[in-house]
Amino acid sequence: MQNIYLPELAKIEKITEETPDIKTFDISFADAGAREKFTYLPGQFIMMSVFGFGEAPFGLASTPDRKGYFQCSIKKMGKVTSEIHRLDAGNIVGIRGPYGNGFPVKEIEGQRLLFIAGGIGLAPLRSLIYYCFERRKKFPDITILYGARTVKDLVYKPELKKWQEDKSIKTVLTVDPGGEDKNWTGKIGLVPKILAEMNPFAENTAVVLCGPPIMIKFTFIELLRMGFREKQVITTLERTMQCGVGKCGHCSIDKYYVCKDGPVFNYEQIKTFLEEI
Amino acid sequence: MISEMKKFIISKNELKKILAGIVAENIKLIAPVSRDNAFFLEEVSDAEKIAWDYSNVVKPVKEHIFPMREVLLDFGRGTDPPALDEPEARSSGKEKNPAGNMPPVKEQVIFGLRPCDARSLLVLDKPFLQEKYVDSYYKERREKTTLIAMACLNPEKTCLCSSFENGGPFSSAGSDVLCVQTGQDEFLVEILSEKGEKIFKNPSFAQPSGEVLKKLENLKADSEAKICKALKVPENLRELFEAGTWETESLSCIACGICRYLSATCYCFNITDEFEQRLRYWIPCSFKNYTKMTSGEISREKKSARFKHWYFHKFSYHKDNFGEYLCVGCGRCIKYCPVKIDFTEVLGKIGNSKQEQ
Ligand SMILES: Cc1cc2nc3c(=O)[nH]c(=O)nc-3n(C[C@H](O)[C@H](O)[C@H](O)COP(=O)(O)OP(=O)(O)OC[C@H]3O[C@@H](n4cnc5c(N)ncnc54)[C@H](O)[C@@H]3O)c2cc1C
Ligand code: SF4
Ligand code: FES
Repeated sequence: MQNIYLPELAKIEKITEETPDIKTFDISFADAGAREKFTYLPGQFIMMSVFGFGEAPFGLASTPDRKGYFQCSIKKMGKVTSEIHRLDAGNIVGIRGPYGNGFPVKEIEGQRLLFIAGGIGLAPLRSLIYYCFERRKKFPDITILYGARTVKDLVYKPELKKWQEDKSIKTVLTVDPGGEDKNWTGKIGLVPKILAEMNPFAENTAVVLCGPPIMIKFTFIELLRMGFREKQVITTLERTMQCGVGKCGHCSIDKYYVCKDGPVFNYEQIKTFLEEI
Repeated sequence: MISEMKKFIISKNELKKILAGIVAENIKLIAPVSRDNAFFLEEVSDAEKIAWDYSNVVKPVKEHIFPMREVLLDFGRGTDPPALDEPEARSSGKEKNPAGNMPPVKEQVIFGLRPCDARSLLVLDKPFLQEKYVDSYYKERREKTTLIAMACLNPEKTCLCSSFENGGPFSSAGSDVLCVQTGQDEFLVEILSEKGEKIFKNPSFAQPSGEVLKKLENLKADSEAKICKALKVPENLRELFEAGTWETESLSCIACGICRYLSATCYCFNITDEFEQRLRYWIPCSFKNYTKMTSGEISREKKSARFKHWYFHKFSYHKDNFGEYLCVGCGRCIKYCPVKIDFTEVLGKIGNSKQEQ
C-alpha cells in the first residue's frame, strides 16, 4: 500500500538566486519512474522535506509542459526554508505531491487573462503563465501586472525582461514608492493604484491574483470598483499546513481544506466562507 | 461469513479464559485496568488484572489506532547524511513494510471498550480511510485490531450516545463482538464479524434462553432510561456563526485542549522532525499556534474563534463533508473540562441566541 507520508527522493539540479531571500530550485526525482510519473497542473503544490528539519508546502513554479524536472521558488522564512536555502546543487530533498486543485485552466480558456502578482506570489502564477504561453490560441489576450517592494525583490528578472519585450502580451512592473533604483523604467506605486491606472476591461476577463494578504485585499476591492464580478477573480489561499492531504486539520477554512479543496478558489466561493480568508 | 450461532451465554471465568488465551497466543490484549482511582484501556499480560467494574475509561480508544505520538518515518539512526537521503536505502528493506517506514504492527484485541468508543472508530474511518488519500498507518492498525465491546448498564450523567443514529449504550455499531453482563456470572456475547468469530471459536457455549433475551431487553431499556443528556444542534447553525453568544460562552474556556485530546473523535495532528525521525502527534485546535502561519498571522487568533471552531467542525463542517457529526456522545469533554463547560448547553444557548449580523 502506498504511504501518503513517505516522500520520494529528489535531487537539486540547479539553484538560481532571485532576490536576497528567494531562490529558485530546479529539482528532479532520483527515481526515473517517479520522474516519468510526476505530472501536475499549474496552481498545485508539493511538500518538500529536508530530512531532520521538517516539511513545508511550496507552489510549483514551472510549466507542467517541461517534463523531467520542476521548479520551486522559495523565500527564506523560518526553520525549513532556512535549511532549504543552505542546500547546494546535488543535495537530496524529499518530495510529496502534487497536491491541491490547481487553477481552473479549462474554465478560463477563451477569456482575456489578467495576472496580478505581488512578491513571491508570482511563483505559482508563473506556472500558469507559461502554460498559457504554450497555448496562445486558447489564451490570446494576456496581461501581467507584477509588483514587489523594491527592485531587488522582483523575482525572475531575466524572464520579466523577455515578457516586456514580447509585444503579444502586456507586462507591467511596479515597485513600492522608494523601492526604485536609478535604472528603473517600470512603474512606481502599489499594485492596486497601478491597476486603477491600467483600467483593464472587466468583460470576459479572468483575473488570477496571488500575493501577500494585504495586497490581495486591496487589489480585490479595486477590481470590484472597476466592475469585475466575484466569480471572475481567482486567487490562491495560504494556511498553515502539516499533511497536505486533508487530514491534519490545520489548513481548514470553513468546511474546506486549503490543501485538498484549494489552494485555488474564486471569490464567489470565498464569499460563502464563514471564516475570513 | 459469520456462522449461525451468533449469540451465546458465557460465564465470567470462561470469558477470562478466552482473554487469557489471546495473551497466550502472543496477541496484544488491551483491556480496562484500574490505576490512580481511574480506569484506562491498556495492554494487559494477565487477564486477572482486567477491571470489570468501570463506567468508562478516561482516554478514548482512538490512541490504540492513531497514537498520541507515533513515528512516521525513520531516516536512519546515526547515519550522516540520513539513510533516506540515499535511494538505495529505500529499496533495501525500508520499503518492504506495507506502510513504508512504519514498524511492523502486532495483532491486537481491545476488550471492554464501550459502544461509544467502538462507534468512534467507524466515524474516524471516514476521514482516514474513505478519502482519496488513505492513511496507511491508521489502516494498518485498524485492520489488525479486533474490538470486543462491553455494553453499558450504568451510563454516566455526562453520556449522550443515544442522541446519535446507531448510537446507544447497547449499540453494536463498530464492534466485532458485543458483550452484555446479564447476571452476576453471566454474559451474553454477540458475534458481529469474522474477526470476532475467530476469537470465540469454541462452539460449546450455550444458546441464550428466551428468559435471558427478555432480561437483555429490560437491561437495555433500563440503561437507555438513565441517559439524561441529549444533543440538539440548531438547524441553522451556520447562520449563527456571528452570534455574540460564542463570545460569552467561551469566556471561561482556558483553551487547555482537554476536550480535544479526550474527544473520542478529534483527530488533528502535527508532523515534525526530531533528529532522525519524523513524528506525528495530536494537537488541539484550541491552541493559538494551530493556525499560526509563517507570516506570523494567526487565522483563529481570538479564543472565541478557536472555541467556536470545535463546534462548527464537529456539528457542521464534518457533517457536510462526511454525512455525520464528528461526535459519538461519550461525554468526556463535559466530564473532564476543568471549567465545566458542557457543549450540549452551549449549543442550546446558541440555538436560543438571535442571529446577529
Ligand atoms: C499552498 C502553499 C503554497 C506555498 N508556496 C510557496 C512558494 O511557492 N514559495 C515560498 O517561498 N513559500 C510558499 N509557501 C509558504 C511556505 O510554505 C512557508 O513559508 C513555509 O512553510 C515556512 O516554513 P518554515 O519552516 O521556513 O517556517 P517556520 O519555521 O514555520 O517559521 C515561520 C514562522 O512561524 C513561526 N512558527 C512556526 N512554527 C511555530 C510554532 N509551532 N509555534 C509558534 N510559532 C511558530 C516562527 O516563529 C517563524 O517566525 C506556500 C504555502 C502554502 C500553504
Ligand atoms: S476542556 Fe474546557 S477549558 Fe479546556 S479547551 Fe475544552 S472547553 Fe476550553
Ligand atoms: S494540510 Fe493537513 S488538512 Fe490540509
